[in-house]
Amino acid sequence: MNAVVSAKHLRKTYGKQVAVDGISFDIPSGRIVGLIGPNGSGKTTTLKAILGLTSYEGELSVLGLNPHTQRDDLMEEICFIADVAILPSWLKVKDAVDFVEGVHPKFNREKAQRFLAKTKLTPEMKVKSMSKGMVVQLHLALVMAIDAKLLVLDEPTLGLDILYRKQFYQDLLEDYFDQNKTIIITTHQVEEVEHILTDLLFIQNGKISLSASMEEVEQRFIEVAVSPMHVEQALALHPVDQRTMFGKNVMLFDGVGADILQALGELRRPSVADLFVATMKGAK
Amino acid sequence: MKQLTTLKWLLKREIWENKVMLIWSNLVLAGLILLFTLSGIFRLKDVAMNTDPQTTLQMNDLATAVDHYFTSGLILFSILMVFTVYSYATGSLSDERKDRSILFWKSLPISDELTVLSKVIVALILFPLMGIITLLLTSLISIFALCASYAVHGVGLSSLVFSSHGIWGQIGHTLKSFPIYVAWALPTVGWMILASSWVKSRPGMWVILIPFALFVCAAFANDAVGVNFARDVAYVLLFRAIFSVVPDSWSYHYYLNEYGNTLSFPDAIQHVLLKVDLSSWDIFATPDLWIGVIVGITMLFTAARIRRGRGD
Repeated sequence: MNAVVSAKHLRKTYGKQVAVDGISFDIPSGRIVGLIGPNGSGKTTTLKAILGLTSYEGELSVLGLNPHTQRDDLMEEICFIADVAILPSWLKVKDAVDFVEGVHPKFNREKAQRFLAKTKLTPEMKVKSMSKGMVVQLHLALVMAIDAKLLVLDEPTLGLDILYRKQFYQDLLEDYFDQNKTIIITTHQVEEVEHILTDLLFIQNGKISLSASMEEVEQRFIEVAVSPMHVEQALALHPVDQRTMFGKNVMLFDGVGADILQALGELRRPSVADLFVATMKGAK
Repeated sequence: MKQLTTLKWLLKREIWENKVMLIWSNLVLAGLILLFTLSGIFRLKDVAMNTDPQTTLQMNDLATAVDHYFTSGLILFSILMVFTVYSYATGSLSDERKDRSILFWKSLPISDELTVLSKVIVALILFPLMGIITLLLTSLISIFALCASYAVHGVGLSSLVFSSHGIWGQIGHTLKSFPIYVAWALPTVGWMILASSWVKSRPGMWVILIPFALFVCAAFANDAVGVNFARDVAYVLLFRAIFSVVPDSWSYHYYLNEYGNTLSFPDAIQHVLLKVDLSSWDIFATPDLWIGVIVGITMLFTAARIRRGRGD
Protein backbone atom coordinates (compact mmCIF):
# COMPACT_ATOMS: atom_id res chain seq x y z
CA MET A 1 0.00 0.00 0.00
CA ASN A 2 1.23 3.46 -0.90
CA ALA A 3 2.08 5.87 1.84
CA VAL A 4 -0.70 8.24 2.76
CA VAL A 5 1.81 10.79 3.95
CA SER A 6 5.37 10.78 2.74
CA ALA A 7 7.84 13.42 3.86
CA LYS A 8 11.42 13.77 2.72
CA HIS A 9 13.67 16.33 4.37
CA LEU A 10 10.67 18.38 5.38
CA ARG A 11 11.86 21.68 6.77
CA LYS A 12 10.17 24.84 7.93
CA THR A 13 11.70 27.96 9.39
CA TYR A 14 10.11 31.03 10.87
CA GLY A 15 12.77 33.68 10.42
CA LYS A 16 15.86 32.24 12.10
CA GLN A 17 13.81 29.82 14.20
CA VAL A 18 13.86 26.29 12.80
CA ALA A 19 10.49 24.69 13.55
CA VAL A 20 10.90 21.49 11.56
CA ASP A 21 14.44 20.43 10.81
CA GLY A 22 14.53 18.24 7.72
CA ILE A 23 12.44 15.30 8.88
CA SER A 24 11.56 12.27 6.77
CA PHE A 25 8.83 9.77 7.50
CA ASP A 26 6.16 7.65 5.82
CA ILE A 27 2.70 6.93 7.10
CA PRO A 28 1.05 3.96 5.39
CA SER A 29 -2.68 3.59 4.94
CA GLY A 30 -4.84 2.04 7.64
CA ARG A 31 -2.80 3.27 10.57
CA ILE A 32 -3.52 5.36 13.63
CA VAL A 33 -0.42 7.37 14.30
CA GLY A 34 0.30 9.23 17.49
CA LEU A 35 2.43 12.28 16.78
CA ILE A 36 3.87 13.07 20.14
CA GLY A 37 6.12 15.89 21.22
CA PRO A 38 6.38 18.72 23.71
CA ASN A 39 5.09 22.20 22.98
CA GLY A 40 7.19 23.94 20.37
CA SER A 41 8.64 20.67 19.06
CA GLY A 42 7.44 21.25 15.50
CA LYS A 43 4.41 19.00 15.89
CA THR A 44 1.79 21.52 14.87
CA THR A 45 3.97 22.88 12.07
CA THR A 46 4.33 19.38 10.66
CA LEU A 47 0.56 18.91 10.77
CA LYS A 48 0.01 22.29 9.14
CA ALA A 49 2.36 21.36 6.32
CA ILE A 50 0.45 18.09 5.80
CA LEU A 51 -2.83 20.01 5.72
CA GLY A 52 -1.54 22.54 3.20
CA LEU A 53 -1.86 25.38 5.67
CA THR A 54 1.72 26.47 5.46
CA SER A 55 4.60 26.52 3.00
CA TYR A 56 7.66 24.34 3.57
CA GLU A 57 10.95 23.19 2.11
CA GLY A 58 11.65 19.62 1.10
CA GLU A 59 9.27 17.07 -0.32
CA LEU A 60 5.88 16.26 1.05
CA SER A 61 3.20 14.17 -0.55
CA VAL A 62 -0.22 13.54 0.97
CA LEU A 63 -2.39 10.97 -0.83
CA GLY A 64 -0.10 11.49 -3.79
CA LEU A 65 -0.78 15.22 -3.90
CA ASN A 66 1.28 18.24 -3.02
CA PRO A 67 -0.60 19.72 -0.06
CA HIS A 68 0.53 23.25 -0.79
CA THR A 69 -0.19 23.52 -4.49
CA GLN A 70 -3.00 20.97 -4.79
CA ARG A 71 -4.81 21.80 -1.60
CA ASP A 72 -8.24 22.22 -3.16
CA ASP A 73 -8.24 18.65 -4.49
CA LEU A 74 -6.72 17.28 -1.34
CA MET A 75 -9.37 18.71 0.96
CA GLU A 76 -12.01 16.38 -0.47
CA GLU A 77 -10.04 13.47 0.95
CA ILE A 78 -8.73 14.78 4.23
CA CYS A 79 -10.24 16.39 7.26
CA PHE A 80 -8.86 17.89 10.43
CA ILE A 81 -9.50 19.40 13.81
CA ALA A 82 -7.08 22.01 15.06
CA ASP A 83 -6.11 22.38 18.65
CA VAL A 84 -8.70 24.87 19.91
CA ALA A 85 -12.44 25.24 19.58
CA ILE A 86 -12.66 27.13 16.34
CA LEU A 87 -16.29 27.07 15.32
CA PRO A 88 -17.63 30.60 14.79
CA SER A 89 -19.87 31.88 17.59
CA TRP A 90 -22.88 32.60 15.38
CA LEU A 91 -23.14 29.07 13.97
CA LYS A 92 -26.21 27.02 14.87
CA VAL A 93 -26.03 23.25 15.18
CA LYS A 94 -28.52 22.64 12.38
CA ASP A 95 -26.86 25.21 10.10
CA ALA A 96 -23.49 23.62 10.71
CA VAL A 97 -24.83 20.21 9.69
CA ASP A 98 -26.57 21.66 6.62
CA PHE A 99 -23.49 23.59 5.59
CA VAL A 100 -21.05 20.71 5.82
CA GLU A 101 -23.53 18.46 4.02
CA GLY A 102 -23.84 21.11 1.31
CA VAL A 103 -20.14 21.57 0.65
CA HIS A 104 -18.71 18.15 1.44
CA PRO A 105 -19.50 15.30 -0.94
CA LYS A 106 -18.41 12.72 1.62
CA PHE A 107 -20.48 13.91 4.54
CA ASN A 108 -22.97 11.47 6.02
CA ARG A 109 -25.85 13.31 7.66
CA GLU A 110 -27.28 10.32 9.53
CA LYS A 111 -23.91 9.59 11.04
CA ALA A 112 -23.52 13.17 12.26
CA GLN A 113 -26.96 13.06 13.78
CA ARG A 114 -26.18 9.80 15.48
CA PHE A 115 -23.13 11.38 17.13
CA LEU A 116 -25.11 14.49 18.04
CA ALA A 117 -27.83 12.39 19.64
CA LYS A 118 -25.29 11.25 22.22
CA THR A 119 -24.77 14.85 23.33
CA LYS A 120 -26.96 17.53 24.86
CA LEU A 121 -26.79 19.65 21.72
CA THR A 122 -30.06 20.75 20.14
CA PRO A 123 -30.50 21.87 16.50
CA GLU A 124 -31.25 25.51 17.35
CA MET A 125 -28.31 25.92 19.70
CA LYS A 126 -25.66 28.47 18.77
CA VAL A 127 -21.94 27.95 19.37
CA LYS A 128 -22.01 31.19 21.39
CA SER A 129 -24.18 29.60 24.06
CA MET A 130 -22.29 26.30 24.26
CA SER A 131 -19.74 25.24 26.81
CA LYS A 132 -16.25 24.61 25.52
CA GLY A 133 -16.83 20.87 25.67
CA MET A 134 -20.06 21.14 23.67
CA VAL A 135 -18.29 23.04 20.89
CA VAL A 136 -15.78 20.23 20.66
CA GLN A 137 -18.61 17.68 20.60
CA LEU A 138 -20.26 19.47 17.69
CA HIS A 139 -16.99 19.73 15.82
CA LEU A 140 -16.20 16.07 16.37
CA ALA A 141 -19.68 15.01 15.25
CA LEU A 142 -19.22 16.95 12.02
CA VAL A 143 -15.74 15.66 11.33
CA MET A 144 -16.47 12.02 12.20
CA ALA A 145 -19.34 12.02 9.72
CA ILE A 146 -16.95 12.83 6.88
CA ASP A 147 -15.60 9.79 5.12
CA ALA A 148 -12.07 11.15 4.77
CA LYS A 149 -9.05 9.05 3.82
CA LEU A 150 -6.89 10.98 6.24
CA LEU A 151 -8.10 12.50 9.48
CA VAL A 152 -5.81 14.76 11.46
CA LEU A 153 -6.72 15.41 15.06
CA ASP A 154 -4.67 18.04 16.85
CA GLU A 155 -5.62 17.89 20.53
CA PRO A 156 -9.15 16.78 19.64
CA THR A 157 -10.45 16.24 23.16
CA LEU A 158 -9.30 19.49 24.76
CA GLY A 159 -12.05 20.72 27.05
CA LEU A 160 -13.98 17.45 27.07
CA ASP A 161 -14.72 15.64 30.29
CA ILE A 162 -13.34 12.17 30.84
CA LEU A 163 -16.57 10.30 30.08
CA TYR A 164 -16.96 11.90 26.70
CA ARG A 165 -13.27 11.53 25.90
CA LYS A 166 -13.46 7.78 26.38
CA GLN A 167 -16.65 7.65 24.35
CA PHE A 168 -15.02 9.64 21.58
CA TYR A 169 -12.03 7.37 21.20
CA GLN A 170 -14.30 4.36 21.25
CA ASP A 171 -16.46 5.88 18.51
CA LEU A 172 -13.37 6.78 16.57
CA LEU A 173 -12.23 3.20 16.60
CA GLU A 174 -15.55 1.46 16.11
CA ASP A 175 -17.57 3.83 14.03
CA TYR A 176 -15.01 5.70 12.02
CA PHE A 177 -11.77 3.87 11.52
CA ASP A 178 -11.26 1.16 8.92
CA GLN A 179 -8.43 -0.22 6.82
CA ASN A 180 -8.79 2.47 4.17
CA LYS A 181 -8.47 5.31 6.61
CA THR A 182 -5.53 6.85 8.35
CA ILE A 183 -5.64 8.94 11.48
CA ILE A 184 -2.93 11.17 12.89
CA ILE A 185 -3.47 12.22 16.49
CA THR A 186 -1.57 14.60 18.69
CA THR A 187 -2.50 14.91 22.32
CA HIS A 188 -1.05 15.63 25.71
CA GLN A 189 -3.14 12.88 27.25
CA VAL A 190 -1.13 10.07 25.72
CA GLU A 191 -2.44 7.46 28.11
CA GLU A 192 -5.92 7.90 26.65
CA VAL A 193 -4.90 7.15 23.10
CA GLU A 194 -2.09 4.65 23.44
CA HIS A 195 -4.38 1.65 23.28
CA ILE A 196 -5.77 2.70 19.91
CA LEU A 197 -2.49 3.75 18.28
CA THR A 198 -0.77 1.50 15.76
CA ASP A 199 2.27 3.71 15.28
CA LEU A 200 4.31 6.20 17.23
CA LEU A 201 6.12 9.23 15.93
CA PHE A 202 8.03 11.18 18.55
CA ILE A 203 9.13 14.61 17.55
CA GLN A 204 11.49 16.82 19.41
CA ASN A 205 13.24 20.08 18.53
CA GLY A 206 12.05 19.72 14.96
CA LYS A 207 13.52 16.22 14.60
CA ILE A 208 12.04 12.78 14.84
CA SER A 209 13.34 10.95 17.88
CA LEU A 210 11.35 7.75 17.41
CA SER A 211 9.35 6.31 14.57
CA ALA A 212 8.03 2.83 15.09
CA SER A 213 4.93 0.68 15.02
CA MET A 214 3.47 -0.40 18.34
CA GLU A 215 4.62 -4.00 17.68
CA GLU A 216 8.17 -2.83 17.16
CA VAL A 217 7.95 -0.70 20.26
CA GLU A 218 6.76 -3.66 22.27
CA GLN A 219 9.63 -5.77 21.05
CA ARG A 220 12.26 -3.11 21.46
CA PHE A 221 11.36 -1.52 24.76
CA ILE A 222 11.00 -3.43 27.96
CA GLU A 223 10.63 -2.03 31.44
CA VAL A 224 12.06 -3.98 34.32
CA ALA A 225 11.38 -3.55 38.00
CA VAL A 226 14.91 -4.56 38.91
CA SER A 227 15.43 -6.50 42.13
CA PRO A 228 17.98 -4.75 44.41
CA MET A 229 20.55 -7.49 43.99
CA HIS A 230 20.57 -7.20 40.21
CA VAL A 231 20.98 -3.44 39.91
CA GLU A 232 24.64 -3.48 38.92
CA GLN A 233 24.02 -6.19 36.39
CA ALA A 234 21.11 -4.22 34.97
CA LEU A 235 23.10 -0.99 34.69
CA ALA A 236 25.71 -2.83 32.66
CA LEU A 237 23.05 -3.38 29.99
CA HIS A 238 22.73 0.42 29.51
CA PRO A 239 19.11 1.18 30.33
CA VAL A 240 17.82 4.23 28.44
CA ASP A 241 16.02 5.46 31.51
CA GLN A 242 15.69 4.64 35.17
CA ARG A 243 13.51 5.80 38.02
CA THR A 244 12.57 4.57 41.43
CA MET A 245 9.09 3.40 42.27
CA PHE A 246 8.13 1.96 45.67
CA GLY A 247 11.77 1.58 46.47
CA LYS A 248 12.46 -0.42 43.37
CA ASN A 249 14.61 0.59 40.46
CA VAL A 250 12.54 0.67 37.34
CA MET A 251 14.69 0.63 34.23
CA LEU A 252 13.80 0.94 30.61
CA PHE A 253 15.78 -1.03 28.05
CA ASP A 254 15.96 -0.53 24.33
CA GLY A 255 16.72 -3.61 22.25
CA VAL A 256 17.73 -5.95 25.05
CA GLY A 257 16.13 -9.36 24.79
CA ALA A 258 13.37 -10.38 27.20
CA ASP A 259 15.20 -13.63 27.93
CA ILE A 260 18.15 -11.70 29.36
CA LEU A 261 16.02 -9.21 31.28
CA GLN A 262 13.80 -11.84 32.84
CA ALA A 263 16.58 -12.77 35.22
CA LEU A 264 16.80 -9.20 36.56
CA GLY A 265 13.27 -8.77 37.84
CA GLU A 266 9.67 -8.33 36.89
CA LEU A 267 9.07 -7.33 33.24
CA ARG A 268 6.36 -4.99 32.07
CA ARG A 269 5.28 -3.09 29.03
CA PRO A 270 6.33 0.56 29.30
CA SER A 271 3.59 3.13 28.76
CA VAL A 272 3.94 5.49 25.82
CA ALA A 273 4.25 8.36 28.27
CA ASP A 274 7.21 6.71 30.03
CA LEU A 275 8.75 5.93 26.71
CA PHE A 276 8.34 9.49 25.61
CA VAL A 277 9.85 10.91 28.77
CA ALA A 278 12.77 8.51 28.40
CA THR A 279 13.52 9.43 24.80
CA MET A 280 13.21 13.10 25.69
CA LYS A 281 15.83 12.70 28.40
CA GLY A 282 18.00 10.69 26.09
CA ALA A 283 18.07 13.44 23.54
CA LYS A 284 19.22 15.97 26.09
CA MET B 1 -21.89 22.46 -10.77
CA LYS B 2 -20.21 21.39 -7.56
CA GLN B 3 -18.70 24.86 -7.32
CA LEU B 4 -22.11 26.48 -7.71
CA THR B 5 -23.58 24.41 -4.89
CA THR B 6 -20.65 25.32 -2.69
CA LEU B 7 -21.10 28.99 -3.59
CA LYS B 8 -24.76 28.77 -2.66
CA TRP B 9 -23.83 27.45 0.77
CA LEU B 10 -21.12 30.04 1.20
CA LEU B 11 -23.68 32.76 0.53
CA LYS B 12 -26.06 31.22 3.05
CA ARG B 13 -23.21 31.13 5.50
CA GLU B 14 -22.59 34.87 5.00
CA ILE B 15 -26.27 35.59 5.57
CA TRP B 16 -26.28 33.55 8.81
CA GLU B 17 -23.25 35.42 10.03
CA ASN B 18 -24.35 38.90 8.97
CA LYS B 19 -28.07 38.77 9.60
CA VAL B 20 -27.95 41.91 11.74
CA MET B 21 -26.19 44.01 9.14
CA LEU B 22 -27.93 42.54 6.12
CA ILE B 23 -31.51 42.31 7.29
CA TRP B 24 -32.14 43.84 10.71
CA SER B 25 -30.43 47.18 10.09
CA ASN B 26 -32.59 47.69 7.00
CA LEU B 27 -35.74 46.67 8.83
CA VAL B 28 -35.03 49.08 11.68
CA LEU B 29 -34.51 51.92 9.23
CA ALA B 30 -37.68 50.96 7.36
CA GLY B 31 -39.58 50.88 10.66
CA LEU B 32 -38.38 54.36 11.59
CA ILE B 33 -39.26 55.77 8.18
CA LEU B 34 -42.70 54.19 8.28
CA LEU B 35 -43.32 55.45 11.79
CA PHE B 36 -42.68 59.05 10.74
CA THR B 37 -44.43 58.74 7.39
CA LEU B 38 -47.59 57.14 8.65
CA SER B 39 -47.93 59.57 11.54
CA GLY B 40 -47.40 62.32 8.93
CA ILE B 41 -50.12 60.90 6.71
CA PHE B 42 -52.55 60.87 9.61
CA ARG B 43 -51.91 64.54 10.26
CA LEU B 44 -52.15 65.29 6.53
CA LYS B 45 -55.72 64.11 6.61
CA ASP B 46 -56.79 67.09 8.66
CA VAL B 47 -54.83 69.87 7.00
CA ALA B 48 -54.23 69.14 3.34
CA MET B 49 -57.40 67.37 2.46
CA ASN B 50 -59.69 70.00 3.82
CA THR B 51 -58.37 72.42 1.25
CA ASP B 52 -59.43 71.55 -2.26
CA PRO B 53 -57.00 68.91 -3.47
CA GLN B 54 -58.59 68.52 -6.87
CA THR B 55 -56.61 71.14 -8.73
CA THR B 56 -54.00 69.72 -11.09
CA LEU B 57 -51.29 71.90 -9.68
CA GLN B 58 -51.61 70.41 -6.25
CA MET B 59 -51.79 66.95 -7.67
CA ASN B 60 -48.54 67.46 -9.54
CA ASP B 61 -46.97 68.77 -6.37
CA LEU B 62 -48.04 65.62 -4.67
CA ALA B 63 -46.42 63.49 -7.38
CA THR B 64 -43.20 65.45 -6.94
CA ALA B 65 -43.47 64.99 -3.20
CA VAL B 66 -43.74 61.23 -3.68
CA ASP B 67 -40.71 61.45 -5.94
CA HIS B 68 -38.75 63.29 -3.32
CA TYR B 69 -39.96 60.91 -0.69
CA PHE B 70 -38.47 58.01 -2.61
CA THR B 71 -35.24 59.92 -3.18
CA SER B 72 -34.87 60.73 0.51
CA GLY B 73 -35.48 57.09 1.33
CA LEU B 74 -32.85 56.13 -1.23
CA ILE B 75 -30.36 58.47 0.40
CA LEU B 76 -31.04 57.11 3.88
CA PHE B 77 -30.74 53.49 2.77
CA SER B 78 -27.59 54.34 0.80
CA ILE B 79 -25.95 55.88 3.86
CA LEU B 80 -26.82 52.80 5.87
CA MET B 81 -25.51 50.55 3.12
CA VAL B 82 -22.18 52.39 2.82
CA PHE B 83 -21.52 51.88 6.51
CA THR B 84 -22.61 48.25 6.59
CA VAL B 85 -20.64 47.37 3.46
CA TYR B 86 -17.56 49.10 4.88
CA SER B 87 -17.95 47.22 8.13
CA TYR B 88 -18.65 43.92 6.37
CA ALA B 89 -15.92 44.10 3.72
CA THR B 90 -13.15 45.25 6.04
CA GLY B 91 -13.93 42.41 8.44
CA SER B 92 -14.66 39.81 5.77
CA LEU B 93 -11.31 38.00 5.90
CA SER B 94 -9.92 39.25 9.21
CA ASP B 95 -12.72 38.20 11.57
CA GLU B 96 -12.29 34.53 10.68
CA ARG B 97 -8.64 34.81 11.63
CA LYS B 98 -9.45 36.64 14.84
CA ASP B 99 -11.80 33.92 16.09
CA ARG B 100 -9.67 31.25 14.35
CA SER B 101 -12.71 29.82 12.61
CA ILE B 102 -10.64 30.05 9.41
CA LEU B 103 -9.23 26.66 10.40
CA PHE B 104 -12.73 25.19 10.36
CA TRP B 105 -13.60 26.67 6.95
CA LYS B 106 -10.23 25.53 5.65
CA SER B 107 -10.86 21.99 6.83
CA LEU B 108 -13.62 21.75 4.23
CA PRO B 109 -13.20 21.45 0.46
CA ILE B 110 -13.80 25.13 -0.28
CA SER B 111 -11.23 27.01 -2.31
CA ASP B 112 -9.98 30.43 -1.23
CA GLU B 113 -11.11 31.92 -4.54
CA LEU B 114 -14.67 30.76 -3.99
CA THR B 115 -14.66 32.10 -0.45
CA VAL B 116 -13.51 35.52 -1.65
CA LEU B 117 -16.07 35.42 -4.46
CA SER B 118 -18.88 34.79 -2.00
CA LYS B 119 -17.79 37.79 0.05
CA VAL B 120 -17.64 40.05 -3.01
CA ILE B 121 -21.13 38.97 -4.04
CA VAL B 122 -22.45 39.76 -0.59
CA ALA B 123 -20.75 43.16 -0.43
CA LEU B 124 -21.52 44.30 -3.97
CA ILE B 125 -24.86 42.70 -4.71
CA LEU B 126 -26.59 41.40 -1.60
CA PHE B 127 -26.15 44.50 0.56
CA PRO B 128 -27.45 46.99 -2.07
CA LEU B 129 -30.19 44.57 -3.08
CA MET B 130 -31.44 44.18 0.47
CA GLY B 131 -31.47 47.98 0.78
CA ILE B 132 -33.37 48.42 -2.48
CA ILE B 133 -35.95 45.76 -1.62
CA THR B 134 -36.57 47.19 1.83
CA LEU B 135 -36.78 50.70 0.40
CA LEU B 136 -39.22 49.48 -2.22
CA LEU B 137 -41.49 47.85 0.32
CA THR B 138 -41.28 50.86 2.62
CA SER B 139 -42.19 53.22 -0.21
CA LEU B 140 -45.04 51.07 -1.44
CA ILE B 141 -46.52 50.78 2.04
CA SER B 142 -46.27 54.56 2.53
CA ILE B 143 -47.74 55.34 -0.85
CA PHE B 144 -50.60 52.90 -0.43
CA ALA B 145 -51.33 54.49 2.92
CA LEU B 146 -51.26 57.92 1.29
CA CYS B 147 -53.52 56.83 -1.57
CA ALA B 148 -55.86 55.14 0.88
CA SER B 149 -56.15 58.21 3.07
CA TYR B 150 -57.00 60.33 0.03
CA ALA B 151 -59.37 57.70 -1.32
CA VAL B 152 -61.38 57.99 1.88
CA HIS B 153 -62.01 61.58 0.83
CA GLY B 154 -62.92 60.45 -2.66
CA VAL B 155 -59.66 61.54 -4.30
CA GLY B 156 -57.95 59.02 -6.56
CA LEU B 157 -54.17 59.33 -6.50
CA SER B 158 -52.92 55.96 -7.64
CA SER B 159 -52.82 56.62 -11.38
CA LEU B 160 -50.70 59.70 -10.84
CA VAL B 161 -48.39 58.34 -8.18
CA PHE B 162 -47.79 55.07 -9.99
CA SER B 163 -47.15 56.69 -13.37
CA SER B 164 -43.79 56.44 -15.10
CA HIS B 165 -42.99 59.90 -13.75
CA GLY B 166 -43.82 58.80 -10.24
CA ILE B 167 -42.55 55.92 -8.27
CA TRP B 168 -42.06 53.44 -11.12
CA GLY B 169 -39.73 55.85 -12.88
CA GLN B 170 -37.65 56.15 -9.74
CA ILE B 171 -37.50 52.43 -9.25
CA GLY B 172 -36.53 51.94 -12.87
CA HIS B 173 -33.75 54.48 -12.47
CA THR B 174 -32.46 52.77 -9.35
CA LEU B 175 -32.46 49.32 -10.94
CA LYS B 176 -30.77 50.65 -14.08
CA SER B 177 -28.02 52.20 -11.95
CA PHE B 178 -27.44 48.95 -10.10
CA PRO B 179 -25.02 47.32 -12.59
CA ILE B 180 -23.07 50.58 -12.75
CA TYR B 181 -22.81 50.57 -8.98
CA VAL B 182 -21.50 47.00 -8.92
CA ALA B 183 -18.79 47.76 -11.45
CA TRP B 184 -17.98 51.17 -10.01
CA ALA B 185 -17.66 50.03 -6.39
CA LEU B 186 -15.54 46.98 -7.29
CA PRO B 187 -12.11 48.63 -6.72
CA THR B 188 -13.16 49.95 -3.31
CA VAL B 189 -14.65 46.63 -2.18
CA GLY B 190 -11.61 44.85 -3.64
CA TRP B 191 -9.32 47.09 -1.63
CA MET B 192 -11.30 46.54 1.57
CA ILE B 193 -11.27 42.76 1.19
CA LEU B 194 -7.57 42.82 0.31
CA ALA B 195 -6.76 44.86 3.41
CA SER B 196 -8.88 42.49 5.46
CA SER B 197 -6.99 39.45 4.17
CA TRP B 198 -3.75 41.09 5.08
CA VAL B 199 -4.02 42.83 8.45
CA LYS B 200 -5.56 41.17 11.46
CA SER B 201 -6.38 44.04 13.74
CA ARG B 202 -8.24 47.20 12.72
CA PRO B 203 -8.42 46.59 8.96
CA GLY B 204 -11.06 49.33 8.81
CA MET B 205 -8.52 51.86 9.91
CA TRP B 206 -5.84 50.72 7.46
CA VAL B 207 -8.28 50.79 4.57
CA ILE B 208 -8.53 54.53 4.99
CA LEU B 209 -5.11 55.29 6.42
CA ILE B 210 -2.98 53.71 3.69
CA PRO B 211 -4.49 55.56 0.70
CA PHE B 212 -4.54 58.73 2.76
CA ALA B 213 -0.88 58.43 3.74
CA LEU B 214 0.07 57.68 0.14
CA PHE B 215 -1.85 60.70 -0.97
CA VAL B 216 -0.09 62.95 1.54
CA CYS B 217 3.28 61.66 0.32
CA ALA B 218 2.24 62.25 -3.27
CA ALA B 219 1.03 65.73 -2.45
CA PHE B 220 4.41 66.62 -0.95
CA ALA B 221 6.22 65.09 -3.90
CA ASN B 222 3.92 67.06 -6.12
CA ASP B 223 5.11 70.31 -4.61
CA ALA B 224 8.72 69.28 -4.83
CA VAL B 225 8.64 68.21 -8.48
CA GLY B 226 6.28 70.89 -9.60
CA VAL B 227 4.12 68.66 -11.77
CA ASN B 228 0.46 68.91 -11.02
CA PHE B 229 -0.71 65.39 -10.39
CA ALA B 230 -2.14 65.79 -6.92
CA ARG B 231 -5.68 65.85 -8.16
CA ASP B 232 -5.29 62.65 -10.18
CA VAL B 233 -3.61 60.93 -7.28
CA ALA B 234 -6.38 62.08 -4.98
CA TYR B 235 -8.93 60.75 -7.41
CA VAL B 236 -7.36 57.34 -7.65
CA LEU B 237 -6.30 56.88 -4.03
CA LEU B 238 -9.06 58.55 -2.13
CA PHE B 239 -11.99 58.50 -4.43
CA ARG B 240 -11.70 55.20 -6.29
CA ALA B 241 -10.15 53.30 -3.40
CA ILE B 242 -12.36 54.53 -0.57
CA PHE B 243 -15.46 56.38 -1.70
CA SER B 244 -16.59 54.42 -4.71
CA VAL B 245 -18.93 52.35 -2.55
CA VAL B 246 -21.16 55.41 -2.33
CA PRO B 247 -24.06 55.03 -4.78
CA ASP B 248 -24.07 57.58 -7.59
CA SER B 249 -20.52 58.52 -6.67
CA TRP B 250 -19.71 58.25 -10.36
CA SER B 251 -21.25 61.71 -10.66
CA TYR B 252 -17.79 62.88 -9.63
CA HIS B 253 -16.41 61.20 -12.71
CA TYR B 254 -18.72 63.36 -14.81
CA TYR B 255 -17.76 66.41 -12.84
CA LEU B 256 -14.06 65.84 -13.47
CA ASN B 257 -14.32 64.85 -17.09
CA GLU B 258 -17.05 67.04 -18.47
CA TYR B 259 -17.44 70.16 -16.44
CA GLY B 260 -14.69 70.45 -13.87
CA ASN B 261 -12.15 72.00 -16.21
CA THR B 262 -14.36 74.39 -18.08
CA LEU B 263 -16.88 75.64 -15.55
CA SER B 264 -16.57 77.25 -12.16
CA PHE B 265 -17.14 74.94 -9.22
CA PRO B 266 -20.79 75.82 -8.42
CA ASP B 267 -21.75 75.82 -12.10
CA ALA B 268 -20.09 72.49 -12.67
CA ILE B 269 -21.88 70.97 -9.69
CA GLN B 270 -25.17 72.32 -10.97
CA HIS B 271 -24.53 70.85 -14.41
CA VAL B 272 -23.74 67.46 -12.95
CA LEU B 273 -26.84 67.52 -10.81
CA LEU B 274 -29.21 68.68 -13.48
CA LYS B 275 -27.87 67.43 -16.78
CA VAL B 276 -26.18 64.13 -16.15
CA ASP B 277 -28.27 60.98 -16.23
CA LEU B 278 -26.49 58.91 -13.60
CA SER B 279 -28.30 55.75 -14.64
CA SER B 280 -26.90 56.04 -18.16
CA TRP B 281 -24.82 53.05 -19.17
CA ASP B 282 -22.57 55.34 -21.19
CA ILE B 283 -20.20 55.14 -18.28
CA PHE B 284 -19.46 51.54 -19.31
CA ALA B 285 -17.62 53.06 -22.28
CA THR B 286 -15.11 54.88 -20.10
CA PRO B 287 -11.68 53.56 -19.20
CA ASP B 288 -12.17 55.00 -15.71
CA LEU B 289 -14.75 52.33 -14.91
CA TRP B 290 -12.90 49.42 -16.52
CA ILE B 291 -9.53 50.23 -15.02
CA GLY B 292 -11.27 50.18 -11.66
CA VAL B 293 -12.84 46.81 -12.44
CA ILE B 294 -9.50 45.30 -13.46
CA VAL B 295 -7.69 46.71 -10.43
CA GLY B 296 -10.52 45.49 -8.21
CA ILE B 297 -10.40 41.95 -9.58
CA THR B 298 -6.61 41.89 -9.26
CA MET B 299 -6.89 42.89 -5.62
CA LEU B 300 -9.47 40.16 -5.01
CA PHE B 301 -7.23 37.50 -6.52
CA THR B 302 -4.39 38.78 -4.35
CA ALA B 303 -6.67 38.55 -1.32
CA ALA B 304 -7.44 34.91 -2.17
CA ARG B 305 -3.72 34.19 -2.51
CA ILE B 306 -3.01 35.79 0.84
CA ARG B 307 -5.80 33.78 2.47
CA ARG B 308 -4.19 30.70 0.97
CA GLY B 309 -1.12 31.22 3.12
CA ARG B 310 -3.05 31.93 6.28
CA GLY B 311 -2.74 28.80 8.35
CA ASP B 312 -3.56 30.48 11.61
